[in-house]
Amino acid sequence: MSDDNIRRVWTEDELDAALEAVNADVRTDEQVLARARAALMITTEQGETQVTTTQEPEVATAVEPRPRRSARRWVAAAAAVGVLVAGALIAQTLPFRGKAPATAEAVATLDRAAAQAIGAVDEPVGPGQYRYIATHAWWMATHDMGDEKFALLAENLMETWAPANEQDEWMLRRDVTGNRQWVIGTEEEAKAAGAETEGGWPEGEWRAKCGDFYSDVKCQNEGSWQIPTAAWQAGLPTDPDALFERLQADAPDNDRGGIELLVYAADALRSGLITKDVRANIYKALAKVPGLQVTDGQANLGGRIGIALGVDDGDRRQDVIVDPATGQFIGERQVMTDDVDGFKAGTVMQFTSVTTGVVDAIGVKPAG
Amino acid sequence: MTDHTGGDGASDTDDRPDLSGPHLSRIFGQLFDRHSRPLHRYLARRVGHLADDLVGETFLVAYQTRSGYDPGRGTARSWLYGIATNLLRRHVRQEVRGLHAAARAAGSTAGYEDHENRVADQVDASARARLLAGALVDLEAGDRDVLLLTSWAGLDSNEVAEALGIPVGTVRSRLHRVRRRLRAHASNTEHTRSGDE
Repeated sequence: MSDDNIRRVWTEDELDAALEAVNADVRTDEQVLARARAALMITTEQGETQVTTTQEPEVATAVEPRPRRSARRWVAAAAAVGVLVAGALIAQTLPFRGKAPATAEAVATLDRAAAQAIGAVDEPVGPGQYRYIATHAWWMATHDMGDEKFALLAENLMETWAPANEQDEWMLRRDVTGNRQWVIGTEEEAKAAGAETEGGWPEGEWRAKCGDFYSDVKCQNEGSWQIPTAAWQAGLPTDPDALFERLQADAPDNDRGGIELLVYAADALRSGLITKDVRANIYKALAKVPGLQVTDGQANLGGRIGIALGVDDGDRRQDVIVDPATGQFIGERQVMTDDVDGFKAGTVMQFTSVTTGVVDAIGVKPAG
Repeated sequence: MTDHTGGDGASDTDDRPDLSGPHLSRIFGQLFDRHSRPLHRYLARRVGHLADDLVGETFLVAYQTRSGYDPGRGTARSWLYGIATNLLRRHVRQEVRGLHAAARAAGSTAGYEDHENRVADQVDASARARLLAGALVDLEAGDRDVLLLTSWAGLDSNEVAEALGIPVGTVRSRLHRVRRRLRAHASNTEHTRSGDE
């Protein structure tokens, strides 16, 4: 690959171009269509001459109304949320629109986390040292075999070494750890059905200046919620209202309510590179996200406990998990809030936890 | 192209035919002539040669289940693509096999470094298509339906909702989520493969 097309995230246009190119070389045989038309005409003409009753449908048409799901979703969501004050429950009935403000409980949690973040000390990275960021991401692998479906969460460990000087060389190490949680079916059943459940994610080690592992162009990135460079962080508004407006302006405009704002904030927080003051401001800005509520007071992310704050788009909920006692960002997760495609409401579809430390050399893990 | 405002439009011209009356043979002939070619192409892109059978089966099922069609609730096009999508569900294994093949197709990744800038754009485009084919395998079937009905069949969100019998808000949120995931994950794989050289 030789130009700057390699980047962390494809543009919408690049995705569309790739979609256009996949399996594009199909052709339609006129004789096939002629035969199909003739068969249809024979059937319809027989129907008209014999005055038959309409046959029982062999295949349910997709326009058959599905059972209303709002009631079930409502119950499932309430069960997942647990005990809430009445005001929050009323807000819960509007997960799609997301127009309801964040609940008082969510705001209080974020205020506390922000206050603690401001008071925290970012462990300094001295000259020649590296900030070490370990991201444990559990991602879903789905194998749809037609009549059978299998799904598992697989752990991906991503370790990043970020130098004291951003312009220096970084390192990224990716490893599919082999830790798995079967969500639908078992390994034995999947193997018996012929599903290939190995692999799926990249593994290896990469080095790049400025952390530009995904681009041939180094140190030109002006930063984003996904790549929060120091300069980008320095340019963010410090006023929470203004930061919230910035988040709204940067996140894609769609009808998922506040969920996209939470996703973008989580992208930045997950990087492990956000300084404490910016982290505090992001927490304050999140308190303004419509539909945000405390979804779990004891969220366990790979053994680390925090408070989950989430927004539900009707299918799924995005949670960010913070420890309000320390102001630390623990991680994030996505949880089904409706039964969709074989996944039950309440199923955790992916979760990511982040820890950071400071080390003296690239490639070295923190002690302990 | 399709008017979604007319709830009682029962003529052929706006693709909301009345299937409860006479002249069914003529009406279904018109539906076939209007929709079979793009439908075949859509099916062929998803399951290859099985499309040759599925295109005919779609119209036969449509004829058999015509009493379930309500012109006030959607266009015939949405209805037909809904039926075709149901039929595709029996052939997911074939679809996945085809996508795996597309992901491996034509020219190995390892060969790219030998081509210089001259063919870089072309290589990048076809490389992306292969990476995307691999990523499409990992989608949930319902997400793949929404994505490909939109991208390959050219249905808008309302039509996809009609075809799949789900709320239009769900279509939009699914589409957004799946596109975001593909943009991130497919390019991650891209980075790795080029980094492996």
